[in-house]
Amino acid sequence: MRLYSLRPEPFRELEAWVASYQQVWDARLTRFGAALEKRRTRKKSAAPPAQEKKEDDSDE
Amino acid sequence: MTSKPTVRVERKYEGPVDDLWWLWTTKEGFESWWGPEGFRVQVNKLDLRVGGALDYDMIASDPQQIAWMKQNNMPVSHGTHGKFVEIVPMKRLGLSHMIDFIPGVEPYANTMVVEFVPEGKMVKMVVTVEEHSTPEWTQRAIAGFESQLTKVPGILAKRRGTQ
Repeated sequence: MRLYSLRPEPFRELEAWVASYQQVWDARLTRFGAALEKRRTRKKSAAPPAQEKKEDDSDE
Repeated sequence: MTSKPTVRVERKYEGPVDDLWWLWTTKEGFESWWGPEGFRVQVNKLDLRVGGALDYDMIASDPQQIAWMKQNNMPVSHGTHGKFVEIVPMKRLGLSHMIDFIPGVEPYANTMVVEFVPEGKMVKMVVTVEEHSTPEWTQRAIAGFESQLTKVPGILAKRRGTQ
């Protein structure tokens, strides 16, 4: 019976690449959440309160 | 089994899903979050249909980033070309990007799929990115990875033959 082994280095490099890419995406998804929040706030402030009769069609 | 590295990220956001969709599929929405740290994005063309273009400039905006780019002889602004490859409104979006800005590396395409999964008032957004090819500094890793894997069938055959 013969024993074979795999060199771990390429796997480690691949792991490191995936980890760094993951970090880029984590940061991106955090910005996505902030942008979503901003949009929601803007939508709320753009919608005139029900009591107000003033028509606001200045949506950009 | 694939030897292409795939990155999968997911995050839950408060709905409705159309706000999330808007952030991905409009000029204003996309520009508001896409650029990596230290960069801003200016969308030049966004044609939301299968095969439609998503072209934008990625512009270094952080002084440190600008200095680093200059030091490495990289332009501080780069035109990026993308294409919508799948559109299922409010549910699924497929985007393909040409990665052609890495010095010394042949241009290659990378594809990502975004899925929006409603979960009560929340929406789970799942992004799966698969590289069609990899930058030079990971290519060695992949080559090593593949060469190891191509040995496996031979190893198994030998093993069987000896049994």
